[in-house]
Amino acid sequence: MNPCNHPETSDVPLQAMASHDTNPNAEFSAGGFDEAAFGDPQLEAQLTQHFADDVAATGVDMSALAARAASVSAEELPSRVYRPRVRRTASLQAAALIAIGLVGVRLLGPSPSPSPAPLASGMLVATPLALPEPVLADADLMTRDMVVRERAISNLSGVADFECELESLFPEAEFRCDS
Amino acid sequence: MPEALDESDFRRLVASARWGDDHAWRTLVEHWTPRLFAFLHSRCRDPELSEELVQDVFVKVAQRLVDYDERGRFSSWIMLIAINRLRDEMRRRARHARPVEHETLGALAGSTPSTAAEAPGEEESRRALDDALRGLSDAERELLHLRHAVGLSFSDISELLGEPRGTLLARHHRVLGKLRAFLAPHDPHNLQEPNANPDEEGGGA
Repeated sequence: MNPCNHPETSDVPLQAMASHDTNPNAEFSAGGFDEAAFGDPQLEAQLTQHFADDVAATGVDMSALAARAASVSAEELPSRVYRPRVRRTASLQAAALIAIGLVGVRLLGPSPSPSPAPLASGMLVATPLALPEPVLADADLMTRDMVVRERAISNLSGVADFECELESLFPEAEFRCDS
Repeated sequence: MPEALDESDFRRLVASARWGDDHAWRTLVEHWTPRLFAFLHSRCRDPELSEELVQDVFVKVAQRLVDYDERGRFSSWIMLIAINRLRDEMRRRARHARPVEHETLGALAGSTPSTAAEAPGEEESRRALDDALRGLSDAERELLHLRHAVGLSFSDISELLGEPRGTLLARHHRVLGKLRAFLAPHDPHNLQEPNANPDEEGGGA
């Protein structure tokens, strides 16, 4: 990593190099060094205490620092970041697909049985579309496909209530709202 | 420091935190905060900067948690993020020539302010150890900080630094020897050699 961290070859005792790199002994090749043989408990304890005193001398409250760090960083956890993003994206995708499907049906689909009576000029159509059975079946398949896809996304991201949104948007469709 | 956790605990906590378990995330943060602070402070000697960096590290960890590969050691992963964050900050400060530059980029070992109730003998011993640490190379100090300020295992350090564990053990042994040699004139008790010496034991294992 840091070139400074890589020791000169002459710095490394021969036994340590041989043990790690070339010794066929299974324990050595698995890294089975006896750490105690390389240590100095008294000096190591002194070092640990030295560094602990060093931190204590700063007067920084570790509990308070941990609380702040947890609070700030929790906002960046994947479950918090991806949930609204997936919900937004999935909602837009679903709305766009349904809109495209309905426009396609209007343009390409066969004319339904008898047209309703002519409306008074200036009024917008507010009655439900009467769609032929094959088109309804296609639309149904499309929305089911979306739900399956969304359920897969939900399982990954923790979004569980998207189906409820769909249900509220399309009450006539057969969405199952789990929550 | 909070209760000791091991790699299997980290894996479990990371998996839970990844899916929104706040308690798991807080447990991880509480465990690692004093360790990260100890390491960062030992490197930059600036408590405020260390606090800031600790928070930054956790933000980075949270952001990258989704990409975390559980095959690796969490200890090495989080420390690598800390080291990289510290280096970025040191580079940034060096470019902007902040006053902290000399202190942080120079004598990284630094001296520890003495605590008020310290006995004269302890104060002398502390100063001697500070001087001894200052006489080490940066890589040697880094090894001591990772091992004794953070409490990483040699396996963690090996994965973190990308160096064989045996090499690190040997370097650690050599660094302790240097410290002993430096401290010997200050404290006759430190003259004692440890019983085990890998150079005399045919492989040290």
